[in-house]
Formats: sequence, C-alpha cells, structure tokens
Amino acid sequence: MSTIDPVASTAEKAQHALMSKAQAEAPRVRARRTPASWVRDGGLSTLLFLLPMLLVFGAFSWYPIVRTVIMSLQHTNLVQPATWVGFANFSQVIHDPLFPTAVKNTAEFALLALVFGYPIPLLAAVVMSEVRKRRGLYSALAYLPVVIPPVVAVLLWKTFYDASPTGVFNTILGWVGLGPYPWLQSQQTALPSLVLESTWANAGGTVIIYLAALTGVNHELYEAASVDGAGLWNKVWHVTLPQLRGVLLVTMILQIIGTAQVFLEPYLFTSGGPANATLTVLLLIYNYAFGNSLGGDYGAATALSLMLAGFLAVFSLVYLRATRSWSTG
Amino acid sequence: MITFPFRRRAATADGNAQGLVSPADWRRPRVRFGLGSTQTLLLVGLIVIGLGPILWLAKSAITPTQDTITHPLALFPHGVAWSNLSRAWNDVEVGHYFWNTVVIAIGSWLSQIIVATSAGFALSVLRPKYAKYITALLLTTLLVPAIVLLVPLYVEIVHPPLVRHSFIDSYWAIWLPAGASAFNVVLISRFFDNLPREIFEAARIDGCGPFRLFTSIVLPMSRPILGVVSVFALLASWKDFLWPLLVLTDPNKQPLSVRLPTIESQTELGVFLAAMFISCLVPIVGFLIFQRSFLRGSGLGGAIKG
Amino acid sequence: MAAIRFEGVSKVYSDGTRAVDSLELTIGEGEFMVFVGPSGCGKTTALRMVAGLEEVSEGAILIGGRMVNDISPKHRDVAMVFQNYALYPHMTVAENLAFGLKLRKLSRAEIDQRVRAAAAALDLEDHLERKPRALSGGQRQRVALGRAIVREPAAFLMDEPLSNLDAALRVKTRAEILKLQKRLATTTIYVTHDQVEAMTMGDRIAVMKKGVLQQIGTPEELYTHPANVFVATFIGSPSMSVVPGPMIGVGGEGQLAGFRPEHIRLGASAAGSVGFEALIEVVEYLGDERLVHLRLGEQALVAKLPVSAAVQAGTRESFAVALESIVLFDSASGQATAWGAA
Repeated sequence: MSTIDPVASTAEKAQHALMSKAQAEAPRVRARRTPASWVRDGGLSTLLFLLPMLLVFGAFSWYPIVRTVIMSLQHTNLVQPATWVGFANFSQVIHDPLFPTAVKNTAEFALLALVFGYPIPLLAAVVMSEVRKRRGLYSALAYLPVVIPPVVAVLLWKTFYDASPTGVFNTILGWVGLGPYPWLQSQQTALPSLVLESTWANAGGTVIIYLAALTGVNHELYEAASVDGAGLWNKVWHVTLPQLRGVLLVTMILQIIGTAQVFLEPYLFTSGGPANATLTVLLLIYNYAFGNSLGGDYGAATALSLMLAGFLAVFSLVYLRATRSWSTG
Repeated sequence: MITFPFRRRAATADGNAQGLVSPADWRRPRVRFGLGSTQTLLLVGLIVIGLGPILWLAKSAITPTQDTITHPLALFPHGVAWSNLSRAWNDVEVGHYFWNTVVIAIGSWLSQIIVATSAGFALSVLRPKYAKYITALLLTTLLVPAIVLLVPLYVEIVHPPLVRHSFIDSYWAIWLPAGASAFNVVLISRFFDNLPREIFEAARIDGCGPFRLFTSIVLPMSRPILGVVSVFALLASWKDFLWPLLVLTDPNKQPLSVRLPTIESQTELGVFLAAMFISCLVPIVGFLIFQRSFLRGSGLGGAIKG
Repeated sequence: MAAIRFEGVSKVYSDGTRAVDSLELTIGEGEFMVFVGPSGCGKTTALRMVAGLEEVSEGAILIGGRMVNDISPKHRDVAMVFQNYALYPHMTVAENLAFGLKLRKLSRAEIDQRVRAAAAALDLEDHLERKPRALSGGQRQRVALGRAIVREPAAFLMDEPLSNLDAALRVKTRAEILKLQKRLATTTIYVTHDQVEAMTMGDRIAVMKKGVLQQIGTPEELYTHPANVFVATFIGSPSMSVVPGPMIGVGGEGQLAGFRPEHIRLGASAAGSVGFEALIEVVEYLGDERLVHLRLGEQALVAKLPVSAAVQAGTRESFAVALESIVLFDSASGQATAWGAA
C-alpha cells in the first residue's frame, strides 16, 4: 500500500516550499474600483462611443418628448414666455367642431385601408410564394410603388383623379361605359380616393413581408398535411394561416397605427377638403400649429398629438391583450 | 447591367421542396392550369397596377401638354416632346432641387450611420453595465409616434435653447435630427450581437483597444447591415416631406419633395410631369440595383436568408 | 516562456456560483499542462482568467512571477487559440497572422519574417492570400495556431482547439501541436474535455470537477494512483469499474473497490486475486481485443479480454482480479485510501 498526497506531486511540493515566501507577499484581494481603474478598463472610451447617440437623441428625441407634454399644458407664444393653462388646451381641442370630424375621417381612412390593403397583399403573396421561376420579378413589381417618393405618387394620382371626362381614370372607365366620377371633388368619393392611392403606394411592402413569412414556413408541415390527406384549401387554412398568425397580427396593428397618422394624402390631394371630408387628425394638428387660418396654437397641437399617442398606446395594449392567446405558437 | 434576381430565386426555391402545392399536385393538369393562370393573372395585374402608373408618367414626361390633357392614354399622337425634360431641368431648375435632395440625403445618411454604429458598438460589443437602461430608453423612443415630436422640434430649431440663432433654412436642422433613429440603433445592435464574441476576444488578446476594434474588426464585418441601413436611410431621406417643408423656407434650399407641390400650379403639365419623372429616377434606379438589400431589409428586419 | 501560478484563485458569479474554487497550482516553464474535466468544471474559466478575459474574484494569478490580475490581456504576453478559431473573416490568412504584430508596432520586416516562418511550420504557405471562408476546418485551425505562434508569447492558452475537427484530423493535429510545443518550448495550458487528448498530450494533467481541482499529476500518476473515484472513472477508457468492496470480497463496509478493464481475467481466482461470477451481457469484437460488458448484481462492469477468450453473451462466467490492481476508496468521501489491496 502506498499513499500519495492527491493534490501535489513531489515537484509541486518543492515549488510550494520555495515560493511560500513570495506567497505571503502576493496580495490576495482585488484592487478597488477607482476613477483611474474605470478609465483603464475602458469606461471612458465606451462613453465616448455613446456620445453621438446621447447627444443626438437627447436633443432631438428625448427632450422634445418632454417638451410636448409641457407645451400641451401651456399657452405658447414665441414672443412672450409661456403660461401654464392646465388642461385648457385639451378641452379646447375636444370642443372644436372639427375634432369629431377629424376623428371620424381618420377612423374611416384606417378602416377602408384595412379592407383594401390587408387581404389583397396576403392573397398576392400566397400566389407569389408558389411561383417557381422569376419570383424576383413579381417582388420587384409589387415593391416598385413603395420606392416612388410619396409626393410624386400623390401628385401623379392627382392627375389621374382629374374629374373631367378626359382625366386618366375617367377615360379608362369611359371605355367600359362608367363614369365620369368626381373623385377628389366630391365629399363621398374623396376619402376612398385617398385610400386607393395610399394602398397602391404601400401594399408592396406588406406583400414582401408576407412573402418572407410564407417562404419561411417549414416544408415538412405541408408534407405532413399532404400525407394526412389535406388538399390545397385545407393546407392554407390549417398550415399556412396558423403559421402566419404572428406576422398577420403584427402587420395589422402596424397598419392601423400607420394609417391613423396619415397626413400627406389629405394635405396634398385635397388640403382636408372638400368641406373637411378628408380632414384627418394629423392634418388638424398641422393646421393648429402651422396652418394659415389657425396657426401658431402650439398648445392645441401638442395636446392633440398627445391624445393621439395616448389613444394609439391604449389601443395597442388592448390589441395585444386580446390577441395574445391567438398569436403564440 | 441591371438584372432581376429572379434567376437566383429559382435556384434557392428548391424545386423538390414542397410548398402549398406539392410536386405531385403540379403534375395534375387542372392544378397547373388553375394555379398557372392565377399566377399569370397576378403578373399582368402587377404590371398594370404596379408598373402602369410609372410607365404613364414616363410617357407623359415626354408628351406635349395638350396631348396629355386631351388624350391622356394615347401614345404620342403628335410626336414626342423632349423639350419637357430640358425645360424641367433648366427653367424649373429641377436639377438644382435634385442636387439639394442629394446633399440632404448624404448628410442624413452620414448622421444616421455615425450615431447608429457608434451606439450599437458601445451597447453590443463593449456592453457597459448601464446598457440596459439606455436600451430601455431607446425602445420607448421607438414606441412614440413621430408627430409627438414635431412641434417641440420645430420650436427648438427656431429657438435653440443655448444658441441665439435660428437653424431655419440650415441643412443641419435636417441632418442632426435624422440621426435620432432608434430603429437603426436597434437593427445594428442586433447585428453586432450576432457577431461571434470570440473574434473580439481574439482581437483583445492580439492587442486591440476599443477604437481599433471598432474600425479594424467590427465595421469591416458589418457590411451587410450597413448596406441595408444605408439603402433605407437614403430612400427615407429622398421621400421626406413634412420636416423639410417646415424647416426650409428658402426655395433655393428646398429638396424636390417640397418644391414639386409648390410649383404645380405655376408649371405647364407636361413640364411638371417631366420634373416628377426626373425625381423618381434615383429611387427607381437605386431600387433596381440594390433590390436584394431592399427586399431583405423589408422582410421584418432582415430575417430572410439570402 | 514563463511559469504560471494560480494562488487560491476563485471565480464567483453574482448569484454565488463558484465556477472556480480556490485553485492552487503551478505550471513550470515550458511545461504542457492539460486542464481536463466534464463541461462546467471550470477549466475554460480558469484558462480565460489567465488570458485576462475573465476577472479574478479571489486570489492571484502570476505569469513569470508577476501578478497579472489587473493587467489587460494585451499586456500579459499570452496568446490564445480558440475552440472556434475566431479568425478575422474579412482578412486574409497573412493579415490574420500579422494583425497582433502590427498592433504591437513591429517592423514590416520582422512581421514578414515571423509570418513566413509560422506559415512554413504549419504548411500554410499556399494559403496566405486566402480568406478564412475559403479554408477547410483543419486549415483554419492551423491559422489559429499560427496566430498564436507569431506572437512568440510567454505562454500558449488553448481552449479545446481540436473539438471541431473530425476524428482522423484530430489525431493527426494532436501530434503536430505536441511537436510544435516541444520545439518552441513555450509554456502551454491546454483545455479539453477529452481524457484521451489529456493523457496523450500533457506533461501533467489537472483534473477538475465543478470548479474544484481533483488531482494534478503526470498521466501515469493519474492512471495508476487516482486520488478519488471521480478521477479514477474519468481517466481511462473504458472506465474503471467501481463496485462495493464486499461484492467481490475486498475491503469492508463503506469501502469501494476499483479495477480497470484490462485487470479483469477470465477464469477462477488464484492466489493474490479475488474472484467473482458475473453475467456476460454484450461482447464487442474490436479486432485486437474483446470488450466484454458484465453485470454483477446491480453493477455494470467492462472487461478487456484477449481475442482468444471464449466468451458468449448470455452466459455466467468466473472472473478474477489481482489484489494489487485494486484501488480502495472510501464510499462516503470518494477519496482513495489504498492503491493495491494486498
């Protein structure tokens, strides 16, 4: 029988003996954190890297957000210092006769945009996902309107919407015996006209998103469904749509939030007319702050912005709650 | 040469992998016919709806105004009016506003790249202990609609807090706020998060300090995401309307998007359409060349593989 | 090259886990030391503390007699070879090799000379202008090694460099690394979870488990005189069989008996050995020997028998083990109490 100290071999023991003196001198605790050690450890350079972001965001993002809240509670006049008016701005906005009009128009816009702009890209994407050759051509064509600057798109469609019989759309419809329509000039058709152009300009982006999600569906699920005896419609209903649930829900809420903030179309097409038929919340805010007739009422403008932001926040929370059970998986 | 990437897509769309329609289904003539005709219908639809308006714009840009007004869909009944283009460029000075748009776009792009890469590097690679607070602040910024910022930002430009001098009509009023894009920072941070940390450790052992790490290692490895961010930054700047409208009151400094609506009423239709067409050219050509970056970046944050 | 000392080194995380617990050991100049153990045992953490990639919570690490706890990696004069190679993807092989030298501001001539020497030693001369993605796994691994060699550091730190290679390449590269290290005589710490690598490569091996050093010694010491049950069963493949002593008539209550597969003989026991009967479950024919899986009560044992042994699955046979080959362990603490039960 023999025993050996498990931890140290003979060589180790010798070295231990030699170094025991050095051992006693070598410190065993870590150095304390000092400003010098913070710099040495790279703390300063990290801060330097963060500096551009902190400055830019501080000045142009975080500070304005705080200012909006403050300004909504003040009466601002660029000449004299601002005065605190409590919730007077909010009250003024709510009692403005244009307010319910703007809200109604915005809701109508968002709803119509959802009806036109939500299912059609999905159908297109489903058909496109099965294209064998030249799928890129389809994607490029679908996305092209998104790339066109919105100002150009709106002005172009403004020409299309010329209400005279020789306007582009009226000419085309004239070939099949329809029209001529007043398009932007009638209170009934103005808003839908705006929605039509907006859908044209934006649907392509949604198509691409759906296409990406569709091609990401695991092939084996379709194969398993085939083996189980599912036909085309069954596969769409039981495999494609459930897999796409997450994307579908996200694009829906994003679209609603986006269309609730529509500004360019009403501003450039009709300036909110005819007779405020296309006045939206964003256009109203713009008018409060920068418009010719009202203009300069920053308090009302910021108050209405906060109301819109608040509404969208609450709406998003409710939406997420309601769809939570739906979207997992 | 500009080529569509469809050849590439056919290669990646595995001929044997099964989508909704299995290879077996394809062989059935009814399915082939039904799906095939739907696809053709879609293609025709896309061409007419997606490409149609742009083609019309191109055609009308070189059609005499009278023809466009009276017979908008006819094809050059009285010949071509190339003069529309030259008048747009010279008389209406589209070239000048085009240049303004370019200058604004480049400045905004630079601002965004600098802010997003430096912040992303600090948060993702250097990872200080307080990173999570900054990220939380960033995320809240993402959730706030842009309209909330508009009025105070405008007031800030007109009456900057420290300086006694308004920034109206200065391009800095557009370039600097452009950098405050939380989306860019998040996108780049996530990309940096996915870089193998071992490479950073190897660089540290090799002797890299943070600045060297940023310039020699991280940035060169980031070309894909920088491409995506750049493409979107340039496009967003080209399309920007409301902010330049508010902040640039001097017509000489305005970009195309602000100028076009203003000159609509004073310009002959044909020349106006030519001006619009010219302002579309850069985005369209840019899109055709950089299709992959666009389409990849739009697939919900670059989740597409190739 | 330099000696490396761990003095009471611990790594404690904020939730209290001790990834490395009071590690105390010395690596001599030019020695090839292997840290081995199952995943999570702290071997990589210990290595990274030497590199400066992890902070030391308690204790001191000394390189060449100098305490390096607060010194940044680039000033410690160590070079590391990573498991996943960590090559710079946008640089050529030559640039990868030269990068650390450029940062240290060596002259162009010196850099060129070192890069060429390393490339020649590692058979990479034809690949100097290629990028990592154009190289095979084995070639990338050599570039990673090359990056460490050109630095001519005080120590090499290798973190499982062979684990991403296929088996044949691993055996070949193992030998090359050893040859290289002997030639350069650089102190090396080599981390692996593979005990075969540890046994074949190390001058000495440090076995770790859950942050605690189990035993340190030469491969032979660990094999013939394991300090506890863990080391005994970890080193050697197939593992040592450890059964309650009384089951084979050795030792008393509370004692375990361990013996290696090659020490089990077929047949009745003779003087100086103990015998037992066991059921043969599986016989594996390996060409030069047979691996026989036995069942003794609840215990599973493995025996290495010569090819000529007449064994058949499903039969009960008598086996014997020489007393001097048995290691006795205390079953409560797992510590070895005697090597050789004579």
